Amino acid sequence: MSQISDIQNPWRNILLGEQASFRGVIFHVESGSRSSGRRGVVHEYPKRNDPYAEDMGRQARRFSFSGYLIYRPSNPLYEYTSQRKALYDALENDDIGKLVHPVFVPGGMDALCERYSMTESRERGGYTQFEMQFVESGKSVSAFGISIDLKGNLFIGADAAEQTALGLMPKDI
Amino acid sequence: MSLNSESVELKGIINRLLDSLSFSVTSQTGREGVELRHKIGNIRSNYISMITGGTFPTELLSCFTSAKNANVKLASLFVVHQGLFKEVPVGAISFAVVQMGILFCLSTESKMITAIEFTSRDDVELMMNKMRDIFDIARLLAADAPDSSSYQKLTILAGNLISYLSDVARPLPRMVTFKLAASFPSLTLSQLIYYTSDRAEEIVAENKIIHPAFCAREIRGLSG
Repeated sequence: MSQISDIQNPWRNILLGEQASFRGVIFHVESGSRSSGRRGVVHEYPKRNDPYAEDMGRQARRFSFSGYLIYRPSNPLYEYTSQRKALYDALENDDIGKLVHPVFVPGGMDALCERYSMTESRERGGYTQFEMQFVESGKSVSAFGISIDLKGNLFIGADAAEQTALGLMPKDI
Repeated sequence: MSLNSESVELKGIINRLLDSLSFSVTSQTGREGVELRHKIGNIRSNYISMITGGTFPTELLSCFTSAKNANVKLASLFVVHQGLFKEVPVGAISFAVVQMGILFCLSTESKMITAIEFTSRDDVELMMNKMRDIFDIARLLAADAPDSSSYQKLTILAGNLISYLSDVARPLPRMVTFKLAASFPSLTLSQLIYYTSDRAEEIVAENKIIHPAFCAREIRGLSG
């Protein structure tokens, strides 16, 4: 008997290509979303029809997932109870982690879990639902928006001086 | 000007340079120090063939690299560049050797400074002023060179060094003078100034106190 996953088409191939995970702890996805855009300031002038939308850079990418873990007697991917603990530990741990989803975050991205909720109900035994919100971590910058490796610069300068010195000897000896 | 015509001048310059470099090797410099001595001896006996063969600059640089790896004292490299500053070369090869030695010496000193752990802003400022004076002299000498590349590289290196030292100085405490109404033991002073008795030895060392129970009424120490 053939299964639905046997039907080949591009979107299903992408969806089945990579397992969704955070810090390497996998979860199933019921629904997900990705949001971002441009940060802008709209200037509207008196006595003038045209506004001016000033671009202030990209908004941080945010991801929301309605995920779940489910019990199966012989689950090849995980053991239900320990996976449930591993997932909420991963969501609560210090620092950023790698978030992977084949459609919203292909290849993975460093992200921070802003909040999550874990729900289990009487009617759905062996099924735990996780609502998770992530934001991309980006990179830390100094107060001036740049960070300079002064020690590295010093070594580059010293090496350049040495290279110059190596070529000082007259050629016609 | 050929190698033969300036052989006497060149021999004197190279020997003086190698002599001052060999003084940096002490009993504490270990295996790297032995290697440095070996390299110095090799240059001393083969410098003519090295110059004609074009390997002299690399061999000389290798000596300075060994000196750095042997953790020679920075002060001993100061002696090397001071000796080079006093040279008045006439021949083109001698001039190149002096310039080369200065560049190698200052680049090695700059790299060695990054390994120093400064404890106070005053120490960094002292080093900054010292290095600024040294680089000023070196740049003045390089300005007489036929090509300006040495001058440019020294200017860039000096700028990089001063930027690095300024950055190192920023978070460090200053040295300040504390004037006290009476003479106290160093443990009491440490508690009074820093709210801990752990820094009594630091006060004794900084003020060269003979007996820690009797400190001077005016002492110098870190501000924090």
